[in-house]
Amino acid sequence: MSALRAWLAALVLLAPAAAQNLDAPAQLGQEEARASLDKALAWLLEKQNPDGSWGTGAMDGLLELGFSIESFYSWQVASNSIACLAMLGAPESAARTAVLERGIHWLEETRVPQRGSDWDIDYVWGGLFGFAAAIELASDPHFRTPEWAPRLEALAKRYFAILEANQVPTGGWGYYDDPIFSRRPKWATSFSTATVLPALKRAEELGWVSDPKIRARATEFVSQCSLPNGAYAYDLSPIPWVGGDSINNVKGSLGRIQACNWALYSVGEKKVSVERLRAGLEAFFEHHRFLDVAFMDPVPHEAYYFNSGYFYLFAHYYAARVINLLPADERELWHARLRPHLVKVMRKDGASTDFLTSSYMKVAGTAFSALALEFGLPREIEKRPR
Amino acid sequence: MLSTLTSLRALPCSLLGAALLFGSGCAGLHSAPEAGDEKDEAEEEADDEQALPGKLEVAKLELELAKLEAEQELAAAEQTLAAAKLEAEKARLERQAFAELGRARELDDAKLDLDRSRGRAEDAAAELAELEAMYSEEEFAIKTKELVITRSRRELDHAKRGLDLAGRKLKETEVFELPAKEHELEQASLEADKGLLEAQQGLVKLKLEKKIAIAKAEQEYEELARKAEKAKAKKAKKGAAKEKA
Repeated sequence: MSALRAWLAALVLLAPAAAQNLDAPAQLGQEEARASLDKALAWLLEKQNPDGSWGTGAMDGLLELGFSIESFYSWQVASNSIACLAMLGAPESAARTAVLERGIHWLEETRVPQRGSDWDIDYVWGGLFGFAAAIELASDPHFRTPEWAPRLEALAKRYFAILEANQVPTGGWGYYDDPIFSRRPKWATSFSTATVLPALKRAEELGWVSDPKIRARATEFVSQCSLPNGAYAYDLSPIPWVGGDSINNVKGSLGRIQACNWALYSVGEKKVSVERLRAGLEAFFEHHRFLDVAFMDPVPHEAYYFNSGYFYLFAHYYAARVINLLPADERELWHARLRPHLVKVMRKDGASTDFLTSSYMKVAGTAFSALALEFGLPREIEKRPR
Repeated sequence: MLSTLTSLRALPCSLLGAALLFGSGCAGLHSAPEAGDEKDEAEEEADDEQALPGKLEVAKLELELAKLEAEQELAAAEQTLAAAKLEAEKARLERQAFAELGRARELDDAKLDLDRSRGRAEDAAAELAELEAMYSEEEFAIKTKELVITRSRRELDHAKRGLDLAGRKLKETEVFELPAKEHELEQASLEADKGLLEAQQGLVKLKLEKKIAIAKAEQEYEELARKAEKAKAKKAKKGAAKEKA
């Protein structure tokens, strides 16, 4: 009986990973991951603009008409922040270090994004990922130098200012406001708020954020979005919609589960245990087809359980971060299951996108993919040339 | 007011009817003046004299009625004329507004619809091109690609058909609808002018008719008044002669 069970388990492991048209293996090893990572990093290296930025701050496709003009620039700032993190986690090379430093310089020099319109406050994404990236950069041993520390502190604070101004009364961060429009917006989502919880904690430790209530409110917000079914509500509601094909079903929450579990566990929220991290990852792989179906659908929330194409790489990035919160001896197996879903959607040139081919989407998607692969590889600890 | 008029009309008519019956019943008695008829004639004359005050009263009421009817009907006719004038002015303004503004606006509206449809078709074509370009470099998402491209092609097809319809609608508007509306407004204006003329002529005619009716009623009344005066004088003369004898 146990032999039969083992055989069945092996069959499941060998079955192709769910995908729309790709026969991806159930697992991929580190070697294949490194090859794909190199391609992604090469793409980022090649596509960096001379001023250190990636992509463009202008709308470069018809499919996103309707957003405020400022939003495209804000998304560029956010995607550039993620790209810098991808370069930070990359295996060492002089060229990559130069790319990273040019990228940081651009984030320092470029103007701070501003509110785009009464309803469109997508500039918060610039604040969220700009701040998170600055804190991660500052936490890296290579940047703990007298030259870099004050620069990164200033970088973190310029993007934190956006967060400080836009934390909603219930504690989270969102990217739209509803009537009656107000200077401080009122609507927030669990996953966007989750992106900065660990960075807020680290910033407090560094003494760069003095008010701990900001993180406390944000943590409470994400925690309150936690649902009994293991999912996280899209936004905070007294009575969340969970029936039918709700987005708050686990199948519509596969990315949010990873981001929120990672954030709450990282800041020491006790309701998220290692078991809960595992359960979230299991749900992620069990229902992965719902992310596959939504992949590259240009209409947001059109797929089953209101999944959007852009959930895909975000979900995989945070899944990789969750894996690294598990005991060290079990991480490789999880990464091996995650990698095929990253590699199968990587273009021949190393770029990845899950929604549109706008430049900010490709930069963010490629960086998310690179980061997720990097988290599954042993970190090379060498000194970067300064 | 109406009930008062009705009662006013009812009374003289019945009296008049009685008077006419009475009159016609007496007509045959004048066939041959024979001996002994003198006494009848005198009686008849006395009867006529006796009926005269009633007839005079009826004639007075008939005159009042004629005047009242004339006043009423002329007021109504003047109102009709005023309404006809307004109607004619309205029809003229509508025709003028259409000729000077409406026609061009409706034509421009149809042209704008055509331009918008053309824009939608161009946008749909550009969006399809962008999606095709996006998915051409897409090695994955075959099912999504099929769904999205099929939908986008359908939208382009609908946009093209919308453009075709808008072009046809413009032509229809330009060639048929606007000239037809122009004719319709011209017709309405002519009819309103005709209605105005009829109302003007109707008023003139009614004024004459009522003038005649009042004049007749006055004549009737004056005739009877003269007779009454005459009878009164005769009666007084007879009485004086009797007293003398």
